[in-house]
Amino acid sequence: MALHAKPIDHLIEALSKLPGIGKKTASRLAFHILRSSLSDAQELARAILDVKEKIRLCSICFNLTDEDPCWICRDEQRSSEILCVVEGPNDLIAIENTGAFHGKYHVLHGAISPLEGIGPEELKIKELITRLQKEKVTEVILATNPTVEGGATTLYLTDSLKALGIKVTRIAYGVPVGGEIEYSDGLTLSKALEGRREI
Amino acid sequence: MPLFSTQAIVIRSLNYGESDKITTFFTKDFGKLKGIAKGARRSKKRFQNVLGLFTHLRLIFFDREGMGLVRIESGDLLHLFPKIREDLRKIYYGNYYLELVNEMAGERERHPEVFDLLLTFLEDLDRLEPGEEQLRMFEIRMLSLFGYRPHLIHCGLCQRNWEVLRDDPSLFFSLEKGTLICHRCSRYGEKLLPISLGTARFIDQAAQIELSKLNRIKFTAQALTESRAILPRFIAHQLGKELKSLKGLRETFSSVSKLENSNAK
Repeated sequence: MALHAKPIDHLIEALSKLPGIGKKTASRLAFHILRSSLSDAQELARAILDVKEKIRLCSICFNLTDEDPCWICRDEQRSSEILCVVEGPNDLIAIENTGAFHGKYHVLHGAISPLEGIGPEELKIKELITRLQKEKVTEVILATNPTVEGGATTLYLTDSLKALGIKVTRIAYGVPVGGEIEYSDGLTLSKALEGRREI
Repeated sequence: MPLFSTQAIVIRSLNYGESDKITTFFTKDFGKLKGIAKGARRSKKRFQNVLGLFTHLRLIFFDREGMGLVRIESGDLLHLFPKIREDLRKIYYGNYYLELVNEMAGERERHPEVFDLLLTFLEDLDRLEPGEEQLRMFEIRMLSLFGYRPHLIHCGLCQRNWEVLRDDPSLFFSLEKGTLICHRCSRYGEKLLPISLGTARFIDQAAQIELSKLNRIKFTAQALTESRAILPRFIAHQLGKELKSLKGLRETFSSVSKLENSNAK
């Protein structure tokens, strides 16, 4: 037997399908929406529909965008000679937030994960290679996560990109800013030592 | 809530919510355990580098009811197997070991000998060049430890043993029965794959020999070819599905070898 009126139950059910949202949180959110003004609720509904209707993948870098090509690929101030390869759009945003990179990107939409059945074919690797054959790129920076899956992707890409004669680099691994050497594991410390540089 | 500690190997790890991880471990004392590590993706100290695949750690966890997800409190790193992470083929081999353990083991079924097997094979994978022999040996041992050891010392239908079967023109392995089938009985069997007497003897020996002496026996070329045709299919038959990592291994390395060939040209 439904405890709430049908539209409320419907909203709770829809919200509880979101990742990390259980029935209780969904119920709290549903009542918050119910109490908010009609215009706020309409804005939320419109925002949800907008992302579904307007967002697509950039045909060059495969980042999420509402205009094709995306604003990064259109930006002529950015260097087209350096390409940074990331696993997902959130990684691209994290790197953009640093303000330290002024080249262009390529989003793979995942990493090689044998346990999840994700191989190179499931990622935008073929598209990357086609892009590199067409564009004048001198350096590819591999900015995959320092996980087993990210490492597998880096190893695969390194092999694939060698054939194109392009310089391939990988972002440095090491002790995070704010981290402590005492709590770092041996692998992180040895990578930090390997990647040390003169100051 | 009681606090427990055991040696564990990470066999699966998934991001959950904004900053949590749901991780599956194969532990020495509790078998397969699934746990949630709150804030693991944000933590710079407590979980740094201990919840990634292959990690061998001392796991500390809370478990209230002896069922469902445990709450991961912390982990002390014991071994990261760094060389596995630097070689794509080793990563695929290691993933296959992990997937096989994850699929064959039931939750909270204690199997310390499976833990020792997995640890030994990961150590070897880290230390040595990856070879197909290791995959096949791991399959044989896993089948044996989980009660699916192929019965290869006599025909599964007429019970005639090796001494008598030596003169048979052909022998088979039955995927259905998990036994040897002689030439005479083969007309009654289904899902039969050819096997030589030498391979049957080898698999039987490999299933029983002590783990520490496993490196003393070696596959012949014929035993390796026949094992490749039989063992993965027998496992898929028992599990009712093909393992993703094995399929990925086949597909990825056929494309890598194509790439290497085109580079060489």
